[in-house]
Amino acid sequence: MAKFGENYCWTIKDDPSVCPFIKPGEEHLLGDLERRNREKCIECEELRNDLKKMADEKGNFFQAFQTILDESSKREQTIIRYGRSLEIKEEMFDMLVHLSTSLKLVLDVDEILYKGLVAFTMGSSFGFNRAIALLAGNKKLKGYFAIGPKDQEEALFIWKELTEKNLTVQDLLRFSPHIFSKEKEKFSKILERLEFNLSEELFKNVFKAETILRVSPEDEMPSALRDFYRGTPFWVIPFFSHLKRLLGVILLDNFLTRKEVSSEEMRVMEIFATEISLALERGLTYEELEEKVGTLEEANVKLKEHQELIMKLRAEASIGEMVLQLTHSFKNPVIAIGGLAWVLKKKTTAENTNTKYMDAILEEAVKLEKTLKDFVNFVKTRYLSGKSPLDINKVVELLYQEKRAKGKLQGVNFHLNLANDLPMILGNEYQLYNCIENIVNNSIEAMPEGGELFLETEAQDGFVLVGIKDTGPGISDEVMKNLFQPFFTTKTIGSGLGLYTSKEIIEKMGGNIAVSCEREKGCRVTIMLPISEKGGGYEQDFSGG
Amino acid sequence: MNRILVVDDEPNVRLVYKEVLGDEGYEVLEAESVKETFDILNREAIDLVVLDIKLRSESGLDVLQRITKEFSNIPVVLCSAYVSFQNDYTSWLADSYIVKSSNPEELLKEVKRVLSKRGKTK
Repeated sequence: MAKFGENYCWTIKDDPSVCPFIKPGEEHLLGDLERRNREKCIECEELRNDLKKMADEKGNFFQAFQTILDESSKREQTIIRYGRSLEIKEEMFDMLVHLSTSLKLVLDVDEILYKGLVAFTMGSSFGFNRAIALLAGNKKLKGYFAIGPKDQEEALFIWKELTEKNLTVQDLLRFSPHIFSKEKEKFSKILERLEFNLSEELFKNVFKAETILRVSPEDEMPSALRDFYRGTPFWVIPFFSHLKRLLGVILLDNFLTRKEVSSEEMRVMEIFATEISLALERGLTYEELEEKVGTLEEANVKLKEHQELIMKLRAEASIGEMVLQLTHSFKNPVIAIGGLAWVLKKKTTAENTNTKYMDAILEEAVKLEKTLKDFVNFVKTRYLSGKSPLDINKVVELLYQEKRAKGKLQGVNFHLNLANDLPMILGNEYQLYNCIENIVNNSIEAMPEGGELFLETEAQDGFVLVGIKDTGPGISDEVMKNLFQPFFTTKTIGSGLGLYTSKEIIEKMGGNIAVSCEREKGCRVTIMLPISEKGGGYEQDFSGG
Repeated sequence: MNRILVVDDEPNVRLVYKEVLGDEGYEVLEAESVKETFDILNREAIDLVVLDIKLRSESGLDVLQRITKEFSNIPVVLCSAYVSFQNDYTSWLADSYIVKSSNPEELLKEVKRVLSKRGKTK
């Protein structure tokens, strides 16, 4: 219907019936024929048909028109295509500039990887559907972070949201710790499974080529990757330090859009990768440095503490020696006073009224002696403790020999049950002897009417156990609570330092002391001493005369 | 009568031992230094030595070693103020080891025991 009478639609002015392509609002094209030809007719089939008919009827003149028209339309398509490609490149360039600027000052590895993965998945540049970052360490590659939708539904939601929010490149590249941890959590199970040896064939190829590799479903790959990508091709981008040390890789894929990547895009991706590599190396180095500084600081603090401890121990050791000297100079006069009172009493007849005074002197001398002994033990434990490997059986056996006779006088029967081949422990024989002696003395005193006392040793789970069990009446809860408190005593003669000192000795050796009592059945004290791992050691000599 | 040499740097402790042992019928000689000890041992016939482990700046353990070398037939009862449990194996050279106490009976008992063991009771 392009011909109206002798005229064609594209030559008729001011008649709305000739052109159905003029929409409401375009009425000005009715009168402006030149503009209508440019904007409407040039793409109109009617014009082409008319020109074809005219060429057939009237020859080559109109044929040329048609050729020119076709060519101009082809050229336009090309221009549009170039325009689009330019647009994409502009966007990529824009993206690259933003990525580069935004990575410039970043030292946090999380943030660098976040920005890197966003750059690869952002719609306006490559727009990959998913991106996964793996970091290298200990000859392995381990999944660290991933970004992208899990399925079609989530993808649509994300794309819709992004369009609605109308976010700029800067907005998208801004690091969000919240999104980072959300995405990381979303992919946590997959990231856990993605752990590969660097010697894996696939990665060996990537590192050798030092470039981006496209992996097809039919290529050889670790099963974890095959399970994850399920027939979708993916791209592996390696990241190297300036010394060609591998830092990590990024895996990219288009599992939803199935889009392929042009060789041109690959080249741009490589530029992106270089930017990310630089930042990543900086970030990882910074992280390492920070860690090392932390370790050094910690070591410094420990060194200081150690030095302080040494100073303290030295000070305590000299205090200990001093106190020991002091108590020692007390001991001989006490022996002389007590001994002379004893001689005097022996040389005095029972009727002599002075006997009771001699008794009192003797009694006081004995008390003083006992207090001195406890005090010396306390000081030795507290301030002086030379350790050496020792056989606990020897100590227990000696104690048994020493105490058996005394116990018998009180009707206490000793039973010795030593384990064979006990491992050595590290400690101070003198201290340990005193410690067990304290407990044995308590047990004997707990059975004034006589009873049974069991001394046992055994090895158990890295410890040597010494058990001291009596058949006394047991102790009350109140006493139990205060048993190991210093200066706590239920005895009329006693400093209250005995059991406290014992506990200190055991704990200083890295051991433990436990008491369990049963009313009317007796108590069991168990000493646990850690087994010495190495032999050797030293011994301090505090023999006194 | 057995002759006992008491070696101790404390005169009052020596007095106690002299009284206690004297009352039991022993003849007691006294020394307060290493030099005095060996002067007496070289000069006199001694049946037993009661030796303190600590002699001011000198060590009773050195004395013990010299006695066991030079006078191996003389038994020694070693005394110390505190239990010095196996700290120095030299102390094992002594025939007896006692901890000094204000009750001198233990010393007396040990002296008697060691002398009878060595067959020196006269």
